[in-house]
Amino acid sequence: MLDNHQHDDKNTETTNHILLSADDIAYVKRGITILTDISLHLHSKEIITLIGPNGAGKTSLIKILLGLSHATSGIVERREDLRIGYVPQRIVVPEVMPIRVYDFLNVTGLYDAEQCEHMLDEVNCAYLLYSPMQNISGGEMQRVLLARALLKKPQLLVLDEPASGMDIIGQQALYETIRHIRDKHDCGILMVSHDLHLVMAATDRVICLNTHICCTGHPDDVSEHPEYLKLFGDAVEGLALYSHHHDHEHDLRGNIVDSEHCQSCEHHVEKD
Amino acid sequence: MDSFILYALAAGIALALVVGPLGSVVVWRRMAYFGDTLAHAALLGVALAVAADQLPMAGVGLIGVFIAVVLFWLEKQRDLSTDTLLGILSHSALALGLIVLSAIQTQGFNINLMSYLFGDLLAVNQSDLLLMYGSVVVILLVFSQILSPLISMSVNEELARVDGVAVEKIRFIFMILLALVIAIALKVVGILLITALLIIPAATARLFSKSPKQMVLMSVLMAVVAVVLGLYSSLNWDFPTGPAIVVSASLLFFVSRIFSRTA
Repeated sequence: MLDNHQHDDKNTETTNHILLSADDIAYVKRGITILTDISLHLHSKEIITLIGPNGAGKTSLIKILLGLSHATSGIVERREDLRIGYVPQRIVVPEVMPIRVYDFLNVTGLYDAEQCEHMLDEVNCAYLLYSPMQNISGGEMQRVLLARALLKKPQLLVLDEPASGMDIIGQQALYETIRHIRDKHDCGILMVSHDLHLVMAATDRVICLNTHICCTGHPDDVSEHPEYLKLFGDAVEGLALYSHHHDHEHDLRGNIVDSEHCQSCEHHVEKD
Repeated sequence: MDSFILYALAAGIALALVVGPLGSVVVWRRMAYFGDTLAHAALLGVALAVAADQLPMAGVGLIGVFIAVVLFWLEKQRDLSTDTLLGILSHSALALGLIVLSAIQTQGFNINLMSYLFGDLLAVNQSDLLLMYGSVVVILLVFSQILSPLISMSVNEELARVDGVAVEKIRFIFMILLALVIAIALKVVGILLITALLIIPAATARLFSKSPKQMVLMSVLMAVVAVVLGLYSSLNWDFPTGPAIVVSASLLFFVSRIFSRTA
């Protein structure tokens, strides 16, 4: 089932650009196999998207690659002194901690306010510099986390569902930002996403995960791959409908009209 | 002013210098119960120290470190939550302490239990002070080294780990520091009220702080004010000193809550 060797030619070409590689990783938790037969390489300046259904082991794999948990078997090798920037799905800052975005970005004491503000500006959030962390919205939090990761000048940026909980406009804006980041900061990017179609334009390689690696390759190829369609076939159809009514976005601007319209759409889907 | 008052003041301020910073972290990381456990275990430390003819403060410090080690080991097993583990440790240590205490009392040792339970600030002498300030310097030096990683861990442990913070190591060092603070607090407020001085000044400082480091400094200020007020009221109205300090800290807490709401 493991056909990630189809990119062997690329791998040998760029061996010296390998940031991180995993070899035959398995992860078993309380007797349940979460991951098995996982081998992959992450190259510098490459954007890889990890997709897979809920419970596919995406977050577990990311945690193993980051060194936050340990694989039951197999080897993870990181380039020496690899600087990793990590953007988790979400964090909840304890209410009892007085902490502003600036304090959060500068927790190591290595940066000054100007550097922090500059980095926030890059993710379009400069106005947040002195806001308490507890007061910012979910979308802003993702951007602040991104800024924090970028301050480290990472060689590898790992994003775990960076757009979860955002509306479609926010998601598109975020992926836009991520694409710029790769070009500007020259870092490899590994991100987890549910939604291949949204990240397609911003992705060099897709890894489709469901306990094992089902298929991997260029997003166009993967979206045609039988394994992918088996996993996401229904969702893809649903998505086509969704993007269809997204064409009429200007019609849906009014809130009430929007929700009514959506309900009727769902109804329409059920009839199908 | 009599020298015993100056000694008492100096001892109280020594304690304030450490409960502020460490208390802030205790509040951020929800470690109040851990503080309580160390305090309960302190009685065992006192009893053992008296039996071995050593300084009670040393006994409390050692037992605290021992509890930290045991907790650290138990937490790795992951099948019981920390508060359950603390409940086990806390009350086992307390019960054991009471047994040792009664054993050495029947052996003819004379222990003034009340002074350990509620502190005996006015009986502080020069050598106590020397030991206290020595510990304060060590605690603050180590604390200043681990403050940044502690802040980082308190926000989110995974992020801290990815940034290269040795989370386990820092957590363990912090537990040891806390054990030392309990040892210092023994003479000042006593075993039963130690946690109060960790929690209350820090909780008050939260209101007036915008950043973690500000909260650390504000907590010291609140603790110093509580010590001065407590000592003053104790001398004027003959209140027991330890409880007077804790009540002063609580007053500060409630007054600042009320004022910040109306402001």
